[in-house]
Amino acid sequence: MSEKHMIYLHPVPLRIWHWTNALSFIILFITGIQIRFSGHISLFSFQGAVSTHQFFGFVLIFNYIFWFIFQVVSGQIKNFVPNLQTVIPASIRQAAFYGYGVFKGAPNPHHLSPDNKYNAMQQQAYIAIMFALIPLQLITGLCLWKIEMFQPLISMVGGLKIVDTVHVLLFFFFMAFMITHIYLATLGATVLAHIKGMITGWEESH
Amino acid sequence: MARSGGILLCGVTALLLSISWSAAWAITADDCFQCHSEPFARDKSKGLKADLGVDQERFKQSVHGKNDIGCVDCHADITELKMDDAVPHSVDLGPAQCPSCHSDQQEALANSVHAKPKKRGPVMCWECHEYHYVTKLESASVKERTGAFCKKCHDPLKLHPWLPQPETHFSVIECPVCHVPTNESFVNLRFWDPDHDKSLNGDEFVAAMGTDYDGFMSVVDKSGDNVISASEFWSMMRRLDDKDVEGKFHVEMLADLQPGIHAVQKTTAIRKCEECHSSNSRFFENVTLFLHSADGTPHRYVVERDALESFSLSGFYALAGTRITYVDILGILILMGGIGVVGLHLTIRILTIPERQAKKEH
Repeated sequence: MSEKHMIYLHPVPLRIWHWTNALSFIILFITGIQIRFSGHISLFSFQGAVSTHQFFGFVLIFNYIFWFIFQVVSGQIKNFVPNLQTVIPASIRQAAFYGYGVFKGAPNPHHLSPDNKYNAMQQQAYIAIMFALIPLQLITGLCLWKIEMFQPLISMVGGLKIVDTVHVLLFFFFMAFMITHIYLATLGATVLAHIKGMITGWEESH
Repeated sequence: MARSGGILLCGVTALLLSISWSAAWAITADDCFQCHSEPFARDKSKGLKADLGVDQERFKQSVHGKNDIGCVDCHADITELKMDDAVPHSVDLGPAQCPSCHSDQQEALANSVHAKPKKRGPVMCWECHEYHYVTKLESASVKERTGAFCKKCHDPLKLHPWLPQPETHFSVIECPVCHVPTNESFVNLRFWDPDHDKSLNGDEFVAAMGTDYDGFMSVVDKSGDNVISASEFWSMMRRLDDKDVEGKFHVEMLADLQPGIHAVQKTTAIRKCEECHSSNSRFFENVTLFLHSADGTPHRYVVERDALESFSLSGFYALAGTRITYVDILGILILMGGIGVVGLHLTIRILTIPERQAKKEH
């Protein structure tokens, strides 16, 4: 029987950020659906859904700022930077693993380490999500929160419906992302390896 | 025969005399303006003591002036003027008799919160209407209407602490829309010139469309159903764009100016957000494109509700109430894509378990 190789991958601040994010996202999804489809869905009162959505929207904003500062101060931000010389072949190898090798029981071509946490595909996805899509969602959310305050910005991008459309499409994207994210979390060394790792900090290596 | 002819002659003579007598003594506005054309105050007055003068020119431009309503038509307790007296009429006059013409409005007012305010007597017509200078309100915007009426006494921002984004709500919704729930309301689309921060004159607007008010619908309403559909609205916007007409439509929710608008309520005012913020809200059913001539004459054209739910009116969005359905369809496709990829991958993963198991055992 091979011995498990455990590595400390997720420090406490990151785990707090992750699970705060997860809880906030779930609440924002539910209240967002209520707000968007009021009249078709009646899970809560509209006012209650808006207040809760706004509260957890701000939780997400402060959580993001906390995450960003932590990433910069701890130097972990380098995990997101792809090696430009290897990113394309590494991405192809990773895609081949997810699309074929994983069914055959092939080993994951990416080897986890505290300084190399994300595979090439994850790096690209997380750069887009963490440095573009999340900020965009937070900014459009702020515009919808106080229209008068952000009117110059709203007008600059073409009006409130444009802002809302971006916010709503990202909302659906993040719902799809969360489903995919949870599923991909089961593709670790064992089905629960990644999930346990995000709870304890220690993760079983591939 | 001669006798009956004499009686008839006497009767006609008496009638003519009485007409000429009353004409000679009818009180005209000019009589009143002999004193009231200048601002003045009278301490001995038992009613209003100050502001007893009336701006004659403004009065002539008012809805009453234009309709030849004279002073004593409203101040009906003045039946004669004794011009030789220091004050030619009683100093103990009652309020103007608005209900003698506006009885429906009075009836609605009697059923309103203004009929029995807690800390004072009933609100008088003039307190809101400034009735010597009443003008038509059809052309007035939400800002103008609330500024000229409700905001004289009430500060909506202080009175609605529970309302999210009150400035935004009050820039779009006129108070009676919620406070007179029995009154009809409609969505008004007013073309706004952002460079000059004013609504564009309707004359300029129809000229830019290459037509006039009467021909406007034949240019815009291609289907001929007398309703501007969402696609026709979009075409109109493109046409304005082609002609370099700068501007956008400002969306407002206005109360219909029916007598019932006076039945202002406090406790039964609409407070439930879902009344508007709902995909089937009745408040977005009646949509009109509003243009006004230089003289203020309104011109309204019916617009399909779908136009509110399109990018033609990109500056306006009422959460849930005017959402764009295509955005949701696209969003649901994104979501289904995520679920589909996961579902497919999971299915293959489950189906290939025996293969991986066999490999592990070897």
